[in-house]
Amino acid sequence: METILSVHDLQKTFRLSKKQQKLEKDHKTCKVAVNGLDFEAYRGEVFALLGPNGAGKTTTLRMISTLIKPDSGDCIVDGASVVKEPGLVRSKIGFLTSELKLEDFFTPNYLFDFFSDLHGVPQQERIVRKDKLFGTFGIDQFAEVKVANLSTGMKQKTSIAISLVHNPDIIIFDEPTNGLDVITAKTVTDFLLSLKEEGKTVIVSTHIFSLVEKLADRVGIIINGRMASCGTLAAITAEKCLEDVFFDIYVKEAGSDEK
Amino acid sequence: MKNNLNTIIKKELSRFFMDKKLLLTTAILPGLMIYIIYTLMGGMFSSILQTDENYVYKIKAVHSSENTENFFSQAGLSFTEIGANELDDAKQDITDGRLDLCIVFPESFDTAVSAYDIADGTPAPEIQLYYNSGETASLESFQTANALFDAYENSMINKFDVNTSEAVYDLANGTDLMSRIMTSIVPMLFLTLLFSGCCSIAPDFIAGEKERGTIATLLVTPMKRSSLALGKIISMSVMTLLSGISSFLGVALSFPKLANMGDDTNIFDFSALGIPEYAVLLLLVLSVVLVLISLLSVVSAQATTVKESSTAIGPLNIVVMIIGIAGGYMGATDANVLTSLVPIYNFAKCMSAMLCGTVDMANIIVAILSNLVYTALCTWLLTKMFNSEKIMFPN
Ligand SMILES: Nc1ncnc2c1ncn2[C@@H]1O[C@H](COP(=O)(O)OP(=O)(O)OP(=O)(O)O)[C@@H](O)[C@H]1O
Ligand SMILES: [Mg+2]
Repeated sequence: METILSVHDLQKTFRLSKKQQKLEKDHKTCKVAVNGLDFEAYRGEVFALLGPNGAGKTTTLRMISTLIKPDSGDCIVDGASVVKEPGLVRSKIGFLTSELKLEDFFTPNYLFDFFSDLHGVPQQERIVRKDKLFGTFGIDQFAEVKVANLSTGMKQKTSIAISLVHNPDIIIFDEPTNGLDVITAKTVTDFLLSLKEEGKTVIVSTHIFSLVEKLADRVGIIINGRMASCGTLAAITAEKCLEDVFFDIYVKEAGSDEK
Repeated sequence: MKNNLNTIIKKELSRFFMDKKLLLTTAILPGLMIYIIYTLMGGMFSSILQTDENYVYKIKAVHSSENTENFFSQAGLSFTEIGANELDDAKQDITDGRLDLCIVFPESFDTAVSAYDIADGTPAPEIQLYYNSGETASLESFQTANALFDAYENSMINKFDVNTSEAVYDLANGTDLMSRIMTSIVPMLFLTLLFSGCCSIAPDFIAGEKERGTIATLLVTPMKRSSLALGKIISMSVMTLLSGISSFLGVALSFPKLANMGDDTNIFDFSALGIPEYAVLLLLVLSVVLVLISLLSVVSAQATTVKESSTAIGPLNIVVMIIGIAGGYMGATDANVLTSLVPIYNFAKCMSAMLCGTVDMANIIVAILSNLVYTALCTWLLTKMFNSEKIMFPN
């Protein structure tokens, strides 16, 4: 199997502001969000990062997509280092989180063209991709409606289409079904599976077991910024169901943290 | 990556032109406001400074003399004779604005004058003029009468009087002060309007994008951060410039009204401002727009919300105004090229000098070039900020 993403000893510590310090126990001035993380993802698979709130999932995905820089360690994305060639990495990935918003004043149609321009997608290719993506998500219906007037589900669908204008090989998706109703959520998960069918690599983060069970080929359980367990879904759930495995690991990890 | 720059500029500008509210507050209102304010101001000043041309001065005289009456009527002035006992009433009328002037001649003035000998050493016959300096018509009638008596005095004794036009000189001094105030106010007004244009743009286009999470969407694309910074500054400058042109039109259209406030009261010397000068002025405005917008962008970028950004800009507004007033006031006298390196000050200084009729190219070029350097510096800083995760993703 070909490794398309490899994460080496990734480390990220945030210095906390006064306000953030008050929320932390012991009023610590720093927060280790990601602590020596190692994992790999293979071409054509769905890899899920599973972890509780504050485990460091978003921070990890942000480092892979070059929005923030690691303190140490590196991620190699299809041969490009996030530390040394962030621009190249950006052109290889499609990154999507609920915190990436679209401008209210524009229509999905305009935004699709705008982001195609930024990615340098040729005119001909752009038309084909727009047809396909807008068709898949039914964006045709509201392609000329300003984002401000779209529902959450419509916005999410538009965001997905726009993050994929350049037909990236690697799709990174933070909490793909957050805030979506069951119907839109199913559209999204089905679409992610169809991307896998096309041979794309999909990295998702979530705290929802069922989503992992439905989507993932391999799963990494991340707790307190460390990889507690990583392997194929089949191997991890060989003896117990995913939920039980997760809680066993969580209790063990939390215990080791107390010491 | 030059394409990306165009893409960003195009996007920001279409956003601007699509947002009707933004368009109204930045591009249309400033010009309209300045036009209305200036027209009102011009109207106000002219009504203060100028009286109706057909106005007949209401003048009364005690012990009026025949010769002076003739002399006055030649100048188109006439007065009604009153008794000495009515003088107090007349004075009250002047204070109340019902009467413009009261002339009190000595008894049998004509004979006293012709009998008067300078060498004699006795005091000359004295004419008293009662007037009200708070009333334009009264002041004017006083000045006219004063001048007439001087002329009359000259014609009588045929000698040269040096002090004749003292009152005229006073008027000239008043105009100078006025014009100085106006030439320092106009650049400041420009700065105020440009600044308020920037204030409704920069927080929205920089901090607003952070707050709404739309800038992150841009930052995950392979576009260069410098393209984003420069694209934003250029497009926001175009918007501010539109707002500036709107103000400029407002000023240009209302200038004639403001400038011709009185017959002799020509506040600005417009003979010096031709098309090339207006073009230079426009370049000057453009350069200060770049400085203002890039400065506000940097201030705005460190804020996390539009509100926070507006709060941070508040104190800056005061600083800019103070520097602007200083520059406007010094404009007429400060020819030092070094002070043209000071941003904002250089704009107010050069513009006010131009309004005074001085087009000092050395100062203007230094001002424009240094403003471009400051803009480049701010763009570089903004690029750094777009690259900084602490600033772009504080939590
Ligand atoms: N910019 C930041 N400044 C300070 N602390 C941060 C910052 N970003 C993240 N953290 C902290 O780092 C830890 C990991 O955060 P992260 O968002 O990666 O968790 P997560 O696994 O995505 O959790 P969730 O399920 O809540 O999204 C948290 O404790 C969070 O408070
Ligand atoms: Mg998260």
